[in-house]
Amino acid sequence: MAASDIQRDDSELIGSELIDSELIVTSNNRVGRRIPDLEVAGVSEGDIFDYAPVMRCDRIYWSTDEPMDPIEVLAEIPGSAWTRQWSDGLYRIWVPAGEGAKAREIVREWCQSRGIEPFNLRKETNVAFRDLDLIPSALLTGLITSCVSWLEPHTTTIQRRLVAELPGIDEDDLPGMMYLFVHDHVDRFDSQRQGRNGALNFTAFVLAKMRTWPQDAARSAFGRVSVNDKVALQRVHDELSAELGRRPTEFERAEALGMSVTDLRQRERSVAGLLNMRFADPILSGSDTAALDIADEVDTAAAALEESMRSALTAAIMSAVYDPQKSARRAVDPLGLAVLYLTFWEGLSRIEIAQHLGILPKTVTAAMKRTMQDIDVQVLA
Amino acid sequence: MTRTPFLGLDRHVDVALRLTTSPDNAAAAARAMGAILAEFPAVSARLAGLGHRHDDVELTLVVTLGSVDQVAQSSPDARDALAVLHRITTSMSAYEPSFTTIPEPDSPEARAARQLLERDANWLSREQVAS
Repeated sequence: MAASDIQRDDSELIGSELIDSELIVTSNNRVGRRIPDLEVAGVSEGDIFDYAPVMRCDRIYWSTDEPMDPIEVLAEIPGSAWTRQWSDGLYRIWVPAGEGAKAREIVREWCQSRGIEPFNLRKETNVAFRDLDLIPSALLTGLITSCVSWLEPHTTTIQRRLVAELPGIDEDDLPGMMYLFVHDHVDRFDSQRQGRNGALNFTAFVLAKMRTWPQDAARSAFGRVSVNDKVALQRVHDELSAELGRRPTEFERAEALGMSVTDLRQRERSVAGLLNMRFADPILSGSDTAALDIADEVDTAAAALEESMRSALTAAIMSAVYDPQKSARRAVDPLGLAVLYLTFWEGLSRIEIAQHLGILPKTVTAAMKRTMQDIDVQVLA
Repeated sequence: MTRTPFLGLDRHVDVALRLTTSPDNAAAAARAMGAILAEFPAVSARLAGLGHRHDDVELTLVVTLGSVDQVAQSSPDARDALAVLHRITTSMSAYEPSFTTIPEPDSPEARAARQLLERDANWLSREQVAS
């Protein structure tokens, strides 16, 4: 079986075993090297896959709240049908191409007759499928293990993204995750597919699938909206950076996205919080320890609103104590602000404020009263 | 808690404002504050806290309203200090300025602010604006 190509600019993919492999021009017109074919116990991957020739099938897939055994459904489907377990928990059944619609209805009726609700019951037509039960299990396991062994040192960037973007995943989980990922994709490997450099080999096929794995996993874990938000925010940032020749301000980013700065901040917080992604930039150039993290578990929306309210309250107080255009005697009233601030932010009593400022308590009361009266409550509505 | 601290023999009233910004815009916020302070050379102000919440940077600026006598008598210096606070709350409203408590001197955010100013004494200064 012919080998496939790999892009040279993915430096992580250039392993020592590739150095001597054949140089090729990839489909993206880049120079690359062939990824070697796998071999298990002296049997080439081509011979292994020959045990289970690729077929064109329709695939039915769905999920349920309650556990079920799809093998029981197979008995209801006339003709050939196959199923196998995937790590994502969805149920899948393959039938010969053209039989998908009928099989889907059989699945629907089977579930309904047993009080099981099939969620998102869908059909995908004309997909590649191999019946892996036809491959001796030692060879199949060996093939997957060999593929994972090759991929592990050559996909460090992808692995780092998985750890960074998915909560609860650490490096120790990666070998197992990679095994399941490869196992999930074996049945859809189409060795007959021809590319610019001949037929695709299995490792190259899996590698291509792996490139979108972190993003797909994040979508699955957090929902499409959050991940799409991340993509949109990053795209605007990149486009504006290119256009302006500098990093865009948040105002510019908000304008480009057609949203308020508050909304932008909320969205950025949501994305950062959900995807566990932090802007890598330090607060200031050269700063390494200047910032500290104030731990909080507050609701983002509530926190944003609270922040806005505090800001509005501050503005209202400042308008009450500083209005030089007004002709009133206390149009500019430092004492009014001092009394209010010491009362509500520093927690001093009226008597304490009077003592600290060396004024009578009734003067404190009067300052408080006039300032409170001047606060425009409409601003806070 | 810092309350009407003694500075020499005079007791002063300090007021703290917290401004929220993105890491990218922290330096721009400092320059904007410096520009306002440059218009009021007699007003005393300092960066008293630096921290972050979520991905936002929080800057705590302490403005001295004046001595207790200046505040009580609404002296020109106290009025200038009030003008600074008013300017910041109006012209820098995008940074959501809000009153906050003055950070304890040994609090992490106060230490972070001191570390920053030790590295770059002009980070929040009128001179930086002038240059």
